[in-house]
Amino acid sequence: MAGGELPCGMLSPRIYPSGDHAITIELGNAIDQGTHHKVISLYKRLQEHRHESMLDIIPSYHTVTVVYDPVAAPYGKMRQRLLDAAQHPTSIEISSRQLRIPVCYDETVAPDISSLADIHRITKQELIALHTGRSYRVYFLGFLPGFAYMGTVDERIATPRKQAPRTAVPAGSVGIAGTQTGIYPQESPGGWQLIGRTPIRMFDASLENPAYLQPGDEVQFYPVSIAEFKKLQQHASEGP
Amino acid sequence: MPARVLKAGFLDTVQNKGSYGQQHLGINPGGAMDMLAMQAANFLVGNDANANVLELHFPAARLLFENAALIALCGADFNAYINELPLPVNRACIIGPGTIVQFQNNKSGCRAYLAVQGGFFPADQEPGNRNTKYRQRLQDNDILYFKERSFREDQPVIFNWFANTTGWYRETLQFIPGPEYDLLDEASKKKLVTDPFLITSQSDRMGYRMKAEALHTIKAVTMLSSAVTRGTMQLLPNGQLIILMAEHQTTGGYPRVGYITSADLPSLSQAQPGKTFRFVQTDVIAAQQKMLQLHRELRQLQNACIFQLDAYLKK
Repeated sequence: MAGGELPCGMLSPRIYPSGDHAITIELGNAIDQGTHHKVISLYKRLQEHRHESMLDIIPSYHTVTVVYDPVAAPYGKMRQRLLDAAQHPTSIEISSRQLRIPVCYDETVAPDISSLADIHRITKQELIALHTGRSYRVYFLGFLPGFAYMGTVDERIATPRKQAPRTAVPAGSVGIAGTQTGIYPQESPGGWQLIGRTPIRMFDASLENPAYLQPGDEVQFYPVSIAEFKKLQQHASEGP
Repeated sequence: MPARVLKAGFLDTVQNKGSYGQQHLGINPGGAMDMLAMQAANFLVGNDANANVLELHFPAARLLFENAALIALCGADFNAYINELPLPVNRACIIGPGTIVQFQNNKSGCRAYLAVQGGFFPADQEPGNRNTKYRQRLQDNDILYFKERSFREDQPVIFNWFANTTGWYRETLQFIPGPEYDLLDEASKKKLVTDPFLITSQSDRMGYRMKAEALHTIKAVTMLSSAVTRGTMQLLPNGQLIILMAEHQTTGGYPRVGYITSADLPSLSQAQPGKTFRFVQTDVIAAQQKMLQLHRELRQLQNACIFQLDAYLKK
């Protein structure tokens, strides 16, 4: 943490061991695009120049964690490697994938949409327009295989998690938690407010790239009717 | 030719060191809970450290080996028998075709590791594919393949050399303070290194929930989620600790009080609910030195086993 590790005027990032086989660098302390831009730049840089001692590179809103083999490289070496990579000037443009994902907002697959519209004193149509009205950054994946934390939603539809989590949220459910939005890749317990469902399979263990979304992706939702949803779902289950 | 599961146990799975490289997709690496026992079992039969073994909980599976095999058991002692003959832990053993391997009672420990020369491959898995991530627990009549070979004996041979596990399993757990350690109040910091922490029954391959007098932070903590690792000691809102194990979620938002060292996770993995541990503070440098020391010990074991097996099999 001593000065001189970064050029003058730049704040030293907080860097600490996450146990004896992982290290974390903190590049901010909030959910914001600027911080996440730094996170994704470093994440992609480390992926491209992956050292053989690095077993996993895991981004979050504000951190990058590297899981490593201490037999191949001790903490001090990994720390320096991470600082060097963070110091490297950030590339201006991060190439991110743009993805359009269909979402059905019909109440039969969106159990919380009416109550959310009521809470925020807007119509369901306005809620849908607000949710589909901007693209979302995939900040990171966690919680379940393929579960993407995306954000941020318009303040007018931001809603805390449910007081009592559901014991079974169906696969494909699209939810809101605070200013985050996300899609449940498989059936699981969950506390997010469910405002829709996608027919897209978000996780398929049999594929070489099992997760549909990756950190850094840009996602735009578009509304589909319940009929279209069922057709697409049928199509997805039949496979290519 | 293969081994057959005559009767599945409580929780038998195929494990190895785990599959890294997908945690950014929310997929944990999994792997054996007791990495020391898993590697020792592999070395005893001449495998590399990462070959597929069976991780068994008690009651454990009853297995029929249709073919001759070189096997070894490490970790928990479930009082194993090969046909009518007791099979001690930490020794290599040659068994003939048609041998039944079964486990009588839980003498000590929590997870036993059964290795076979060449490693186990479930029937639906390509040989060489070590990704055991999506594998379910073994069921009755499941088939496990392994590389076929013959031995000159018809009778079982239990070798007289063994893996020395002295010092592997301990009564205290060392931890490296985590980024939120300093948010604990002074009394809680003291409790952390003096109070006994009990393993509750809510403990499994995902995590161990511990019970002790509640720990408190100096202020309310709200955190953004970030990556968590095996061994992370998370402070739950009720003041209790959960220690993340092999099947942990890849990210988490609870305060990270500390991290149990890799050298001490086998001790926790072999402990049953109801057992208590005390925590001892260490640092990352010392923890990694301990890892290196264990790594060298395992290499020595591997070399010794290769030497002994070669000497025997060439005779």
